[in-house]
Amino acid sequence: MFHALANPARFLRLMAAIRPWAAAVAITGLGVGLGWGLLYSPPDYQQGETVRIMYIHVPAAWMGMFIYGAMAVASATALIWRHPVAELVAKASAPAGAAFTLICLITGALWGKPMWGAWWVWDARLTSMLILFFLYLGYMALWEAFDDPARAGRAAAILALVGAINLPIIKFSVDWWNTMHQPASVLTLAGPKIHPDILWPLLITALGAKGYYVWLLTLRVRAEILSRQARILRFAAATDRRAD
Amino acid sequence: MYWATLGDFLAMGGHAAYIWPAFAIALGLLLGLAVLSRFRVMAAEREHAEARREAGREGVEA
Repeated sequence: MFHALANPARFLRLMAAIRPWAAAVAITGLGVGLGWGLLYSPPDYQQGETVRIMYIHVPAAWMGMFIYGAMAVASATALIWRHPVAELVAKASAPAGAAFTLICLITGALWGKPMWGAWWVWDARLTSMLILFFLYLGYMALWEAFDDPARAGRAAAILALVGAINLPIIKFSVDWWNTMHQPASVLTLAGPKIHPDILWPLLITALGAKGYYVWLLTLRVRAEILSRQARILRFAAATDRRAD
Repeated sequence: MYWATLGDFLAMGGHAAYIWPAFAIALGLLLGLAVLSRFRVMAAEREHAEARREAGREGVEA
């Protein structure tokens, strides 16, 4: 299976088969989850209606971290096994990860202002998320910084792997340091600490966000593979012209 | 439904100025990225078709 997916044509067929299902999960999950969160879920006893920002903020944070983790795994696969599609999966994932991380930062500021009285504080959780956003920007910039795609891919993959150290820092920042950010309330060893009326729409929105990422990935990987094939075809044509 | 009136829903307990922009910015970014990605695929498909035609003239198969 692992080696079969190294064939770009086979990988594109798989992506085409997954795409409509991912779109259905994205539209249904985001529609039901956000609709439920806005219309039916109760306010928080302390934070009131502002807790509804959580239905975007938390799935966006999870996705920002999940996608970076996926990029790190794909980058390691590309570096170790020279898997030709893995580095394209990592490259195609970066814009979605950056978008989710930016959404997390913006919605966090919009939630922080009424609750903390500040748009931004330099505490561990917020700062490590900001670093994650810069890692995404740096990763995308590295791909554009080299003329040779092979060198660009290697440099970007190394950055993705080194930057993965930030993921546990984000996750445990609220435990390791005193921060204004609340501690984990869903992904804990003791189980979720929030009421099911709030938890369910949150989980459904998170599922929709996963579907959106997979749908976007299938599109962007297709674009990357076709662009790379076009470059190879042009190079072959130019080589033939020189030979003639 | 939690809300008694449409006005209550839109007012969001006095926090509409924070909640609605959060939803609008998030959905706008996701929608914008989806549209950009679709355009990118279309551009790549055109580029690939052109390269195939060029390679075809030069006798190279895709």
